[in-house]
Amino acid sequence: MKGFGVACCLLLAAIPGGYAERRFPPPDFETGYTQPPVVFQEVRTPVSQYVDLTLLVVCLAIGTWLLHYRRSRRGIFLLGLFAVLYFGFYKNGCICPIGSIQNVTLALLDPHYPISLAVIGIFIAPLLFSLFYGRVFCGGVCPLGAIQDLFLFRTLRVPRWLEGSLGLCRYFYLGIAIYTVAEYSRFVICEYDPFVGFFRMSGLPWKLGLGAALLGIGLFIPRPYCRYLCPYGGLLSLLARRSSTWVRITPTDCTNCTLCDAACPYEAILRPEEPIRPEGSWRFKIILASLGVMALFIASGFYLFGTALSGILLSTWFGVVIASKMMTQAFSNRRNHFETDHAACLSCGRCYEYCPYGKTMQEIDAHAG
Amino acid sequence: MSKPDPAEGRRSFLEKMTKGVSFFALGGVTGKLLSNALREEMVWQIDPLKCIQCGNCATACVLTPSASKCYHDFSMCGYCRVCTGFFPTDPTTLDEGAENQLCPVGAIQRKFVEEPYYEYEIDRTLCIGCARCAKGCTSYGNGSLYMQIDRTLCVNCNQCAIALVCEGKAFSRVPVEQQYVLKGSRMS
Repeated sequence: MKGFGVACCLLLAAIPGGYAERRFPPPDFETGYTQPPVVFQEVRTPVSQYVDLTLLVVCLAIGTWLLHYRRSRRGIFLLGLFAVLYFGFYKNGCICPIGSIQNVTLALLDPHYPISLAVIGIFIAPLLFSLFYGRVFCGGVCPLGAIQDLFLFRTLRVPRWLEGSLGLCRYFYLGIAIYTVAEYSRFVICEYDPFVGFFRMSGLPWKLGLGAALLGIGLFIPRPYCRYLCPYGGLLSLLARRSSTWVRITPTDCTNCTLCDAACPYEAILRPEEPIRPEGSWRFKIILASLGVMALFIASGFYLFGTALSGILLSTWFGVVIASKMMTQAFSNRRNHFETDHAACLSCGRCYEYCPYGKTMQEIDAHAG
Repeated sequence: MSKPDPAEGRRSFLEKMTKGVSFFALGGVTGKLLSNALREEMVWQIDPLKCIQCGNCATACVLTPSASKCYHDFSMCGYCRVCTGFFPTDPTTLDEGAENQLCPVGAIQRKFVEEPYYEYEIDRTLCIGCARCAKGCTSYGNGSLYMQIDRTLCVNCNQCAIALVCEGKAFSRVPVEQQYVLKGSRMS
């Protein structure tokens, strides 16, 4: 019997052409045996992404209300906690707006790439909120930001020039991510997502290690991923520069007490300073230098990538990022009071609690209400 | 402040301009995206006809054990006594002893039906997705054992980690309404 079976196998396997499987006919059972059906278990809820999108928009709206109308740090904290638990641990971190950059890039380049409405919504909603209300998403809706916020322990001050320069890494990362997804269809943002391993409670050791290292750095330099790496944060920053409303530290007049500046863990508060308008010729030199840097990057793009358009675009993007940062140094604003830096503010609401006027207002409200 | 500073006016005009531009850029991107958007949600699945049973499913998935599991389509099965998905290709003895089984975790249960037929059933709570049984069955048998992603386990990563290393390029996103790619119905 055994020999027959094996011989059958060999004989049938040797028959050329056609589809190689189904070598043995289904048996005719004599004992009345019925074949059990194959059980394919369906996914939990087929509309889950739409539920997520709705929840995301609701969370953004609640975050906006808490930040700009209630001015409640505690509310933002609780919202962040919810985001970590739901978007993080329950949904295992996918799909998030940060990763959706790549889906959107692919969909824009390839009309046949399947992208669902929910993903488009998840990508656009935080950007729109950022354009009108600042980076509300970063403050209490992003699970990656919120988990880092929980690990804040002692804040080390980062010099402003270093903060600004490291912040450019977000745009470099954004460029690299878009380049990789366009060229190789690889999702680097998702592959090197440092915290998603914690949400799934499993992952490669080096990735969990990377996440742990970032959380460790975050004990002293709060939210390093958001400030120096997050590509979506970079996009949100760009839009938040023109936001209609933003985190106003004090509800009344600023007395320049410096408490908010000391309380902000993210170096996101601009100090009052005399306008350092660079002299005409000096300003001209800066602009000239930045144009030079840009030309250098474009040239090196041609040198490194030859005629590959995407490579040249990547190199040009690097040049544009550096050159525009240099150019902003040539212009400066006059400030008389402490103000939030719209682009850098992560909307955590900590400054509200430290502003002496904010406190008084809250107390008055409490007594009145 | 009777006389407005011309620099201030210029600045606010520029700010409004850039805000408008960003708003319309966002709108444009949304419109472009909506033009080829799908209403249904997409989930990752294996095309069993492309799968070459390389075994990467077992190790590459972000979950441990892998969300990729072996499924058994009974309607395709030959109920072989010498099942090449159950026994190694050179079996020493044809009994159910663990040392004689191909499955490293003993996830396949063999049940006698009638002479000479045996039923093979997979306990997916034990399966680690190594695809050895599927390889044996597809190479020498009917191909009724094949790999699919268990949709109740898969977390639907934006970038499937197995898809990156899949040697048969068998992974693709499918609409959630047809979340399993069945071999039986495809071949009919």
